[in-house]
Amino acid sequence: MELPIYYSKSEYIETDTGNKVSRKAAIAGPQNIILGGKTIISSGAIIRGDLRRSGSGPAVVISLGRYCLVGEGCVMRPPYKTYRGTFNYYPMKVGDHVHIGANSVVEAATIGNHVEIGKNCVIGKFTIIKDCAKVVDNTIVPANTVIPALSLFGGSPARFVEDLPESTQEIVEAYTKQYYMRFQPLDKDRER
Amino acid sequence: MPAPSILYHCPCLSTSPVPPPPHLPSSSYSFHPLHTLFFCEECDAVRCNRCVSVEVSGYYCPNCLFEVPSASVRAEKNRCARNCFMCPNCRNTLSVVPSDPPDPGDGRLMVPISAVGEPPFLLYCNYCRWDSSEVGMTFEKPTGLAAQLQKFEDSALDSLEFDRLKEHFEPIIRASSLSSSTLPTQAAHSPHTNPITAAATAALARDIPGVAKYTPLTRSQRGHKDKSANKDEMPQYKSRVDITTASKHGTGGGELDVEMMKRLEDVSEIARLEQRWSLSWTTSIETRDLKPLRIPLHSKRSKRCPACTHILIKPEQKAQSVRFKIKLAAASYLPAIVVALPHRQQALAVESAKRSMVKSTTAPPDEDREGKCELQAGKTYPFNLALSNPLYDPIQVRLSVQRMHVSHSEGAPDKARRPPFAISLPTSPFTISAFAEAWEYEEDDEMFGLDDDEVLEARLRGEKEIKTKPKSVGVLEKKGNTTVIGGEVVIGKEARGNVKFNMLVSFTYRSDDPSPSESNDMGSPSKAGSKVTETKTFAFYTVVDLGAIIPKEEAKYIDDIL
Amino acid sequence: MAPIRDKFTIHSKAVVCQDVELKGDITIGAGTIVHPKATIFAIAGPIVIGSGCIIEESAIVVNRRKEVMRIGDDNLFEIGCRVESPSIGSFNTISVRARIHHTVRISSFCVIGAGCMLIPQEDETLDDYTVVYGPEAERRTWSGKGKIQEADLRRKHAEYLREMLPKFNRLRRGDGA
Repeated sequence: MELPIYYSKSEYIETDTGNKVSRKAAIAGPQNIILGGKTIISSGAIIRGDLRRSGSGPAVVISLGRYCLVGEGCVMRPPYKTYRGTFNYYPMKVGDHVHIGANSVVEAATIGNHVEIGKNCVIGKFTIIKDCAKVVDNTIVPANTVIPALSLFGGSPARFVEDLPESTQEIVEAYTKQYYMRFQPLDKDRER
Repeated sequence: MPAPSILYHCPCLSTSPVPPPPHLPSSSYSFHPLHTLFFCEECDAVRCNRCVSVEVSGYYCPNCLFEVPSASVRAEKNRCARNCFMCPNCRNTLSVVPSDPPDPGDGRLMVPISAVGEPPFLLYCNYCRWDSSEVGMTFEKPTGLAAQLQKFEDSALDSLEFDRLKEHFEPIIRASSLSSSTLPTQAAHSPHTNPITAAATAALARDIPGVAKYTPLTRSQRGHKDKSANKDEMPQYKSRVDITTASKHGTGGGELDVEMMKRLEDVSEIARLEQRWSLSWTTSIETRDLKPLRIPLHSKRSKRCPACTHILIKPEQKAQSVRFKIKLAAASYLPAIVVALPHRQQALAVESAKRSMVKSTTAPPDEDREGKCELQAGKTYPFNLALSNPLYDPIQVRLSVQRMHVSHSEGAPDKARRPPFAISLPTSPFTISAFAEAWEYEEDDEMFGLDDDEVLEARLRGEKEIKTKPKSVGVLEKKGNTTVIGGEVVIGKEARGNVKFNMLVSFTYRSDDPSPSESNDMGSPSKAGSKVTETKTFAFYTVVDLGAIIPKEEAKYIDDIL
Repeated sequence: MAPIRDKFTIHSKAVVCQDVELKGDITIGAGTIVHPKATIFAIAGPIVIGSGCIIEESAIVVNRRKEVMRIGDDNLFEIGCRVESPSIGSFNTISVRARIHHTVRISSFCVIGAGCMLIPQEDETLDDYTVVYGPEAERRTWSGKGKIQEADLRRKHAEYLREMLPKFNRLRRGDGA
């Protein structure tokens, strides 16, 4: 009953943990980026792993969980601010089962699990998105916003719209797992 | 074109479990998607968000995510008591920022001296750059803003007025609650459990002559004139400030507004309605007088069944936890059904394959695709229903289509009797395997449902593998805990509107040796007379929407342009 | 139509990453930072960018008019914005996905909010300290409070990027294509 979502086999690199990263995604500083496994990074995505905290030692700039999806043309970069006189970039932590729609700009500080972000969204700096939240398409979330768990946010500036049903977690989990299973390579010489 | 969908019916305490026919526009109120429904184990019934009774299990601030104990909620007037404020201009949350360091004045930018920042501190909105110094609110310390504002808030006009009102009504409330406790019959007869509303109803009945006939208070109670008179006669309330002169104190309204309007230069100087209407008191209508608002609290709710008060949803104690102590979702009791039209799926699959080759990120919906997906009048289409069993035991499911009594307002009477489309579904029961981690794979078995007298066409194919061309009506595939059923819809030549039909799904569960349920009617659930005593049958109605029908003329038009 | 001649004058202290699309006559001042995947098109006329500016990813700066497009110092062009304004002052912030038409001239200390489309019909100049916000591009005037802190943040941001970016990205240098 499921429609497979095809991608061109040569376009994506598959790692041994099941991550599928498009070659057309611009990933800066890949050594500072952690992907949880079975995560898909679509073409055209821009992930800035090079904007790290000042300081020595290995730094994790952006970490994504399992079964995540970064849509086409998305830009993910860590947020920055001046704290006590020093300027710094802060790491961005994204949970499991997070789907980010196409062309969204995400500069959040933390995103919880089972979050669904729509297309063309702008998530401001240091936003905290708790579990099972949903951000509607074309939303602009200003900086320093807190999105509580199980809430639906929309509009510009983003406002609370309604509470999501209690079974949202299972639905989003099933959807993200199924999406990963449907995401299959299409060989070039295969007929329509 | 929207995908075919299926919604589940919740009777919502109505007397008949049979839902209204779907061609009536009002029927949509009682159908819900499965993930929003609950299931009460005691009453064996589906409950939806409209019929459950809701109670609050905890309060939290949506900004700082602090859990507020219910005792202090009333004291803080349902607002966050910490540093959470809302910008009056754009409703964004405000942040506390220090002021700029003093400018040396020679054009150079100075590095801020202190790490924490200079007082005075302001509230600042980073979306519209509003800051609280515009209304004159500055703070000495960056924390504990609520305490610093306490003085101003307590002496505000509206809270003084509110306190006076509370003092005025408190003796009356106490008296009426005492009187209602001595007269239990009064409370029992009236549906008002709240003595204040009962008093208000009686006052209304006294003031307006005709209304008394419709109140539930009986004659004998109205005869207790002395008691109700006592309840209704309240001392006259005199407000603290005379409203006609109140505008002098900054409440707005009256002469001051007129004066202001005369001097008005720009419409944006007047505050918008949505910025003002949630305030409890009339305030000045100028934008620059808008004060930052405290953020109202959100609540976590627990839900109960309305009939037996069994708890359906009980959230966890922690405010931001997504888990629930008790969660009786309908999805864990009822089979989930997914509807699909195979010819549409094929068209979409072709489209997505083409798109991935071309690698365009924005693929507009294709005219070609639309034409292939629509249901055209006069044709027959197969459709699939995939039922998934959530229980740990196999179940036996039986489907039946509810007969529609379609009556067109215009048209010949003989046309009125014929429904615009005919559905054929397998009528004999079929099993769905239990939900298990390691699923077993069974080959499908075909069953043809030809005993329905509404079938206009029946096609027989002897294929075992139905993956690409489902042509028969019956069980198509059994995989894990999902069974795919094929049905057919024959659309009449004169058909219009949507293909929407009610479907009764009855399933038998918790038995090892099931015998098919003998009931042939489409009515209430019945207990199957079987050998095993723990067998139970449950039935629920659903509405299946396959999409809109394209009339024949349009269909021809689409074919012509392709 | 004359072919676009590429002529890039990039200051030695500026940091321009390799992945940037540059076209036409472009001058970039000292200390300016251009992130990868930005686009600067001087199609019809030249573009002059001042010092200390930060142009982030997917930002598009386009000059379709013959006259020179002058951008001042210490401006911030955030992700996804599109700027065609012929004259921009200093210390402005053009937020994510904002769009500015070529009819608008921007002074200093302005803030164009996220997602705003500033497309007036006629030529217009925004005063200093104008804030444009909301989906309908409402305007208000900023009191200027906090501008020193913001300027300070901008400077520190630029300084930080000047150090970090060359470590991870290849840079484009010099003049010519």
